[in-house]
Amino acid sequence: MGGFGESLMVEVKNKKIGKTMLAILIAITFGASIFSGCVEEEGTITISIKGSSTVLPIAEICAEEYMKLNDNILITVAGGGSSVGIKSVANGEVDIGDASRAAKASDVENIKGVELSNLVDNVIAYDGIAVVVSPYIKNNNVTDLTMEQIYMIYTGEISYWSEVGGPDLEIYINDRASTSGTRATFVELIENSSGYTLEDFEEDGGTLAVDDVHQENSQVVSAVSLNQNAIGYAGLGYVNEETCPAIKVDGVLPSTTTVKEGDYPISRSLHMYTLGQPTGTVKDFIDYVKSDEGQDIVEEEGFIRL
Amino acid sequence: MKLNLELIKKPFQSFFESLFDKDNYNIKNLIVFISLIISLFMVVLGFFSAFYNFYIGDLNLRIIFIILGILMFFQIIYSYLKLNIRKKLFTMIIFTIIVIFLAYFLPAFPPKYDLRQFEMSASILKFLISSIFLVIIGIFGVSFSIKPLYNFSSKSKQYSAYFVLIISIILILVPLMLIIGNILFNGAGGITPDFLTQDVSRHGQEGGISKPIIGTLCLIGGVAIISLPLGIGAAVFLTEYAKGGIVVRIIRITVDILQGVPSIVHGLFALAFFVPLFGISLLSGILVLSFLTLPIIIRASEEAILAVPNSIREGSYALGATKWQTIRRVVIPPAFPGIITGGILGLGRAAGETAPIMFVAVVFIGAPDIPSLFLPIQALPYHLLALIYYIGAYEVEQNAWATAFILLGIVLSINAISIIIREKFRVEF
Amino acid sequence: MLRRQIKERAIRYIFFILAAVSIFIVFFILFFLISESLPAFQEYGFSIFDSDWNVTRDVYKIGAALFGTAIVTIGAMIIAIPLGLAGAIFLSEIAPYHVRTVLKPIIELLAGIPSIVYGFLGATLLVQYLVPTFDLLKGKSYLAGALILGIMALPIIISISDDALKAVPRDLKEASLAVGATKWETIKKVTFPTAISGISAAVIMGMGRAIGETMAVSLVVGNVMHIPVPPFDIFESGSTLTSIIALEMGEATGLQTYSLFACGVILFIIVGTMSIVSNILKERIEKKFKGG
Repeated sequence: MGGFGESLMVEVKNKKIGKTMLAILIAITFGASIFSGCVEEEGTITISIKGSSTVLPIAEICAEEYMKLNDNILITVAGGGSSVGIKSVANGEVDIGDASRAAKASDVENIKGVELSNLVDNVIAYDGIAVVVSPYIKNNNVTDLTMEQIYMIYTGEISYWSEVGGPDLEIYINDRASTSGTRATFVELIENSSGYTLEDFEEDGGTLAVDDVHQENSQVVSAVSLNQNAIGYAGLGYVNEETCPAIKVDGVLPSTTTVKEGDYPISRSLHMYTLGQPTGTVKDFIDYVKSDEGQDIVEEEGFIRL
Repeated sequence: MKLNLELIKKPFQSFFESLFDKDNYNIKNLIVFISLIISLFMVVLGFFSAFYNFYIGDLNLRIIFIILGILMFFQIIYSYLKLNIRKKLFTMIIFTIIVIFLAYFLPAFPPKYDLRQFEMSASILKFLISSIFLVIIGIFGVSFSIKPLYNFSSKSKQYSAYFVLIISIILILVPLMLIIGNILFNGAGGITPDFLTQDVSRHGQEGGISKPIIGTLCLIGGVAIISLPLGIGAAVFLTEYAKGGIVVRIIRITVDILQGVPSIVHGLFALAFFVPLFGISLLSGILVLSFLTLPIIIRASEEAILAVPNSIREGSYALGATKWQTIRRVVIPPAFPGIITGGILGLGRAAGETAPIMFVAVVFIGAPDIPSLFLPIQALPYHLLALIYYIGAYEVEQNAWATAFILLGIVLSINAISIIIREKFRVEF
Repeated sequence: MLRRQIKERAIRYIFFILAAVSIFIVFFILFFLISESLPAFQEYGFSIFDSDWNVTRDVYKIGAALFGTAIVTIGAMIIAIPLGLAGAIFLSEIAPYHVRTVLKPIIELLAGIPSIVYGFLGATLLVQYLVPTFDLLKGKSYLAGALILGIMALPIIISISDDALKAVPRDLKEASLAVGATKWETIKKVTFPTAISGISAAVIMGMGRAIGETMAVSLVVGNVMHIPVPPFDIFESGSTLTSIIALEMGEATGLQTYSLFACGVILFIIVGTMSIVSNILKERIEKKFKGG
């Protein structure tokens, strides 16, 4: 027992030292965290932004650059779709709601004390919704579709690329989640061209012949670039000539000029909504987005400056 | 390794012996040997062609099967005549017939058999079906070739079984090597000092992962502070203070249940409870991860404490120590390595979790420079997730591999440290 | 003397509270899950298990996710049980000492890989492999989910089965060898059946892991809330309970959130029951060997 007891004591000492060191290390980490938490709390101003995944890259990079210029400001940017953005800013959850479509009265009907007129629309850029296909399809003769053909593809009446002049492959159709403003605009234009609303279509028992539903523009682009038979739609800023090219719609290729001139049929503005007129840091940020620097970022991301 | 050497040595030995023993020329061993080689070859070929998506060609396929068939045929003849096996040959005969049958029909399989006519969304491609048959027939071929070697005894069944087990182990190791290999290979290129010290920029395409790394470390630290004392304390109670009894049973059951709760459910709970209280913040993240880690630490600590033999405790009581004194000075110290091992393993698990913190603690960009309890943080697992969604839309693939490299590196290092501690400070009783 | 007694009692109570915290946590979680999901159950009743999840029409019935979880788990078990048991038998009975000391940490390494890393490799390598191999339109499918979950469940099954097999008393094995059985026959007829409780516990825990896994499966399964036609079309994409929560949790509101919590409740109940069952099985082993 003696020898064992001795070695036990040595072990105990070693462990005590190790334990103490570990405890000190943890205490330092935690202490620093709490301390800075208290200090930062008073100095930091936070801006929260939520909404459209089309506006998301603009908001993200503007936030990144803005935070570099202003040390004590923290901006969190999230997606969720235009509907989520508008609703979140209307009920006070976030400071700025991004949207790639105009807000409607139905967005705020469930929010007490807030009407459509309470939301202030800050337009920060213009965009065209490009119809994108995989590079393989574009290289195989499908460079132009009419609105009617697009409508028929999405409703399932056309299901093979061969029916529109392409190779004999099934069309893999990418769509967006229902919270997406991009989708809302896209659907609206399908409805306009066909004279027949989605609601009527579904009431008549139709379902969109969609293969995949995505939460964000970037996921549509991802899917189209990785899949040979794919078609989808996304904000102009997401178009990539090599991996995810846009095709002409009714003979017009989406570009800065065609969108600005109104030639490209699927165009829209991009909005940052606030509840009431923006003030203080929020106003400063939105001004930054509208400034030359911010608009450079808009262009950098592939959208169209004001 | 001794076992496998025996298995390989024997046919070689007897083969060469009989080859140079002119009086007793033994064709049997030659045939068995070649048959074994062919079968093994088929198995390996099958796996490779499945993995690399190639077809070996109609002619080659036919040749292989026919050779196997012929060899099997000779084995049957030999076993019937020389070994006097009758009934047990039955399966071998069926097998040979199947092999010949496949030799004819398998190459006749269409290059692509479309299942869409049956409403399924796939086709069976020729290479896949031929790979599958190559592997299956190969395995049976090995099994049937071993039989004559051991005179159809139960020993032959044993070695056949061993063969299948070895293949299984190799199959198990393959995904592991693929994962680690790919991450090492693809990720290493992206690890630069800049990458580790700069913040996320331009949707993760530029810059680095400094803030996610810091965030992950803060999460680990916070979880350690909360769940280590709680977990060790709970374990001490369960092992020292209340042995048996209904209360202990209930606590044990709830600990087990807690351990099984899926990580996303923890996330849901945190979304409902912590976020309204603390917002999306480091604190919420620490709390939800602590809930997740707690049962792991409790269980590991329990095991470590239980491993301390009772004689030591009784010796301490005999000397007049109280329960608490015994626990503190006699029971815990030798159990400490085991406790720390379990604790560190739990922390490693917490470091890699994404689902609980996804909507509860993290943002992609915009975390404060110095982490703060009530503000959000960035974290490595979530960063990787965001990058995965961005692949194809932005050029983040290299950075995604690099992030996976760092994350895996951190988690595996934590696990390695725990194993080292366990081995180095092990107290033998 | 009295002071010491009071101190001892106080310490005992402190430890008791620390232990009781875990009961508290479990019930707390269950309580919140149930209360947040109640509106969904009230709205739909049992029809919540129909397959109809449509955000446009504001319908959130989770049947498709339940189906997906079932299919993917079954597939994962088909892969993981044979491979896992084979691995465990090899590890515990056949591997020489040095091989075992190398292999066992490697298997534990597999268990330690974070699920997002599995998901990353699944989304990049596995899915891209499946497309040409099966001539698929999209690689994200139940099959991909089953494959990845199978790999993830393997280390657990191997580890716990290995413990169970190792726990079989040597005299039983030696008695079998003594009457002339080969090692393999011993394994097949003596060791394995004796360890069956532990092995069942291992399988159940592996299944629990497969059912509860989120990130890996949500990145490879496609996330479409439907039951494919025909239902056994594993090459179609789908959703699981875990993947639909992960996907929609961030942006859900109202009834959608409640339905997601309902998924959480169901997950909790399933996995909780499995925990209890494997617990009972483990107790059975202890009784068996204490008495024998």
